[in-house]
Amino acid sequence: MTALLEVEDLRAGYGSVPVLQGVSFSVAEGETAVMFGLNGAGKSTTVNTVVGLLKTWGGQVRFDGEVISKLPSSEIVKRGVALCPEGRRVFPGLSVRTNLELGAWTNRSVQKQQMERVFGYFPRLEERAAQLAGTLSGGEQQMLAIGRALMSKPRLLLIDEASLGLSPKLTQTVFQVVDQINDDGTTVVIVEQNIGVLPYADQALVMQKGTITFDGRGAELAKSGDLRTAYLG
Amino acid sequence: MAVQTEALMTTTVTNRRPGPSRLAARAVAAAPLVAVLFLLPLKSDTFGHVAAYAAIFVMVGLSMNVLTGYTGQISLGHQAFVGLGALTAANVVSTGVTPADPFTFAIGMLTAAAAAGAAALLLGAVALRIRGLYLALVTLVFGSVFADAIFTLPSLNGHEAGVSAYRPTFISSEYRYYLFALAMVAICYYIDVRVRKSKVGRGLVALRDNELVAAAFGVDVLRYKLLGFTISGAMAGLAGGVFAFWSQEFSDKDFTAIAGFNLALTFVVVVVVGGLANRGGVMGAGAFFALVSPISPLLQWVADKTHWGTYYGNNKFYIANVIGAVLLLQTVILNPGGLGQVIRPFARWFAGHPFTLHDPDGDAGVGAMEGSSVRA
Repeated sequence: MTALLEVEDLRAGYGSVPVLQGVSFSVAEGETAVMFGLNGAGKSTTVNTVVGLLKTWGGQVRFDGEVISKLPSSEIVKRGVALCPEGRRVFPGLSVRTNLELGAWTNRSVQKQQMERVFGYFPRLEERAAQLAGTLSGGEQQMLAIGRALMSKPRLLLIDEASLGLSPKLTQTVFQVVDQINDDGTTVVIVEQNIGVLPYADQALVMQKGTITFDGRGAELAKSGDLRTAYLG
Repeated sequence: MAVQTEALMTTTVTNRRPGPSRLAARAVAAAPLVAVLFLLPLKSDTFGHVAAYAAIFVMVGLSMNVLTGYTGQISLGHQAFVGLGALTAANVVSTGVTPADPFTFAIGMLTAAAAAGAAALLLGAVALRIRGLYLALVTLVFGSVFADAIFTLPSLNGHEAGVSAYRPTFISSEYRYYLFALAMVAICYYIDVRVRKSKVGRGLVALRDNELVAAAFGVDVLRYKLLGFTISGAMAGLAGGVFAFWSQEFSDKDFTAIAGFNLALTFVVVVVVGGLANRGGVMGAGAFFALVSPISPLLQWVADKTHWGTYYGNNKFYIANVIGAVLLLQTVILNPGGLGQVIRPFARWFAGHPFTLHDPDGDAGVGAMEGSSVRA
């Protein structure tokens, strides 16, 4: 299986503070990779740098063999990468439908087809299509954020903290839908604190202090002690 | 609460097109509005003059709506764009002592919009890389420096005597000029609607709500901000062109020093009190602030009736500001959706929906949602 996303010795940070100190991993096409780690380990920084919201200080990101680390995010999105940002940042003043349309900003041709797909995953969103996104519940906003990221028909979907602030039941629902999205052919990278996602993971990554300290199959991580180290230090 | 519940039920019942009787009800309700819009300004030259002034404020309000309401940026120097439009129109048409010929007049209006749009583009290219308080400061400084530096050039301001701008004969009366101003309002309204409904509008609102996320979906944030700034500047410039021929001269004193700063603040107050991103509310607020300005005889008339006439006459240059300040506080604290939120049920009813105090189709302004998202 070929690697869709390759990150090599990636370095990035905020201002003059370095956060990523040489991050390397690759994700094979069609798989689900989960990235665990403590707060501040650099997980969000990694995904934000991959989509070009943060400048790369050093190293490389390759998507489908092409170096994308110097491109602006609009170009990266066009090539088939989408980010579902942390904290379900929906556009509160816009309707659910408009939020979704914005997700297809760079790829209008697939808008209709993808909207049907998203409504298939999240029927609740279809019921509330005309409602302002800011009036949705937390869970619905998370569904909208994931749905919006799918609108551009990405080959690679990055989800930053899918379960943040959701009830355990809703978290499972979201994980199941993400698994379904993966089964439908989208490669997924999830940044998570919740280890409940592990059963859905093909690949598991553990991040500590700006580097990857574990990179293996999901089942291996469950057996090894690395997860304990990642969370309890 | 009971009213709200009842209203909720009505929405679920029907959303059909209004029948003849419903149309008649709307026509009856609209009649006084039409009368005020078209008949009252006909009553005297003063009324026509003030009504045209209100139309100019409505245009500036719509311009601020594109910038602050949709794009989420703030400008404390908008009087510079209006002034630049006025200066350009007056100098391009350059009537001397004769009325402008219609063709040159039209060119004057177009160049007014183009010049102010270009100035906004240039300012934006520098200023829009910064945000919030700093952006406000830069526009504030731009407004006063630009006005003081360019508008006072003797060759452009008629050597301090003002540049005359006599109207073309076919719109020389106050009422006809008012109708012309209304037509210009219609153009600004159309631009506002087009901006909001188009892909551009969605991009602007997205970056207003969250720049980072908008960027993550491929919106070119800087380019769209610049676009919003330029459109807004051009609309303000057009309003300036209309202003020059409204006062029949360009005088730098209208836009520099305290007068200019006063205008800039009034424009910001118009867009906030009107309701950010709410077209109807902003237009209403624009007209209102024109009507309570010292140019309008409205407050003087009210004051005369209540034996405050002399007091008002002595203080009229401050009273409009006090009204603005009070309404601004009232809006920010009690009614973040502004005037637009108050009139929204009526506007929806006029548009053919059943009357309801509940707003079923969302997409209201930022104000209505969670206060302002303008970061300052």
